[in-house]
Amino acid sequence: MFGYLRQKDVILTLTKYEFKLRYRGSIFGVAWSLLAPFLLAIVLYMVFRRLFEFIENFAFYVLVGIFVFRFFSIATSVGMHSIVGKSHIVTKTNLRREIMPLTTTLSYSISSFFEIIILLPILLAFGVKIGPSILMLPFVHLSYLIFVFGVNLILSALMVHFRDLNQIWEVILNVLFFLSPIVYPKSIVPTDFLSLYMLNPITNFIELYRGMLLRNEFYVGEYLIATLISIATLFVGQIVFAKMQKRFGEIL
Amino acid sequence: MIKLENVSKKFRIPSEKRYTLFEEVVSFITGKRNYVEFWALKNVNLSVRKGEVVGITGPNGSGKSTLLKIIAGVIYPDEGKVEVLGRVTPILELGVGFNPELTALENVNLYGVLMGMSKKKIERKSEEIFKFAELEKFRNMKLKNFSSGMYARLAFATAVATEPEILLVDEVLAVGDTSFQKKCIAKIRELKDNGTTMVVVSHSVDLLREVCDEIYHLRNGKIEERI
Repeated sequence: MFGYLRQKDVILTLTKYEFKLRYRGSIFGVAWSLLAPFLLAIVLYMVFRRLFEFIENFAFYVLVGIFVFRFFSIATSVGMHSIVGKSHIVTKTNLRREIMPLTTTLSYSISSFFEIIILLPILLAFGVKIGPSILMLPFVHLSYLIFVFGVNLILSALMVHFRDLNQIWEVILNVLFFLSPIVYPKSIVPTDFLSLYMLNPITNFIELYRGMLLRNEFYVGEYLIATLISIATLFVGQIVFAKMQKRFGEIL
Repeated sequence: MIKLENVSKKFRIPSEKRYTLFEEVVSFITGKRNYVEFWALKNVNLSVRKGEVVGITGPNGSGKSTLLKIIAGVIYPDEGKVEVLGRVTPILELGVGFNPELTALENVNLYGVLMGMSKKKIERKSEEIFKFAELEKFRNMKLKNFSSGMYARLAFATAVATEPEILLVDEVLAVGDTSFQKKCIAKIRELKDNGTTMVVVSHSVDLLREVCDEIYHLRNGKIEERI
């Protein structure tokens, strides 16, 4: 089922060049891509700071939320094109097709990881205490990556049949942005809706990253739940993809 | 070893192209789901022994490429059985995945792994690839500055460096100038002597005669005759 994960050379080489082409060799590539989330964070901070004065480090609270959500939103909006956009590889080689959404997910997870690493000195400079719980960062990121890969498997397969999926997905992402605790705390969600609200797996990830980056805390329970959801998503994605990929060769 | 038993492939060609979710929903509600069906391949039997080279020819739209894609596992047959034993390297198009913004060497790495080579093997073979393609001087030049002949030579050289067990070639032997074409044919012969099983598709029967043990003529999705 996941035998393709053993094709390390293909996966790593494709990821490397995808990453390289994205930044075209510019060292400042990653830094430039940070401009938009920083500006968004500043705007949202200005708008909501009176409302949520009680949150410690509210500016960074928003910033971390945006960074975490960003990985999901960018990796999926690009990843959903990974089959359609590389149709020549799908129709002309016998490469396992899961590898395409995988390399896109990997290359964006690397950027996202760097983005968070860049954030660390800024947080330190502003007096945020970062402690040993930060060591869990790679594990949380890996779990998040698995979730995004699962979603990308489903989206990229669906995209072959429904070419307007990207427009629908854009709307869904906008809704998800406000259904995740990015600019507000989870505590303002009415308790009646809370169980429904928590169905959004990104919420767990945002809380986990905030715990590690802003409060030196690691929430084991949340981590286990998030990882379980990620693995479940991956399995569903893999099954959907395997079923749909049989007709890729003729549709594309 | 390749064995096809009663393989049929049906293509559905929608009379109106439906690509978007909206169109899909509309046609579902109105119950209009009309498409034309046509059999690209019908009851094809083919068996290629290990080390044998089989040529396939036929007019446009006769199902040559479909047949090759089924052997490559790019598309799946609707009926029949396909059995392929061995590592398959399909050259259905030269330079799949080539990127004009990367250098020749980087593209060899990229294309090489796509064709199933390990990184180590590419490293070992890179010298040989550039020599065969006669492009040693252009190793670090970006591919966008290559002529189409250079492009094809680099791609062919990389693809054959995979030392395939089963090689599928679709109409790509006619690349480059005459001297390079001769080199290609010589290379195919060399692979054949080393025991590579091959299926070669071409319009040119003369070209096929030069390398193949067996040539089949395909017409309207059926193998019509052995030449």
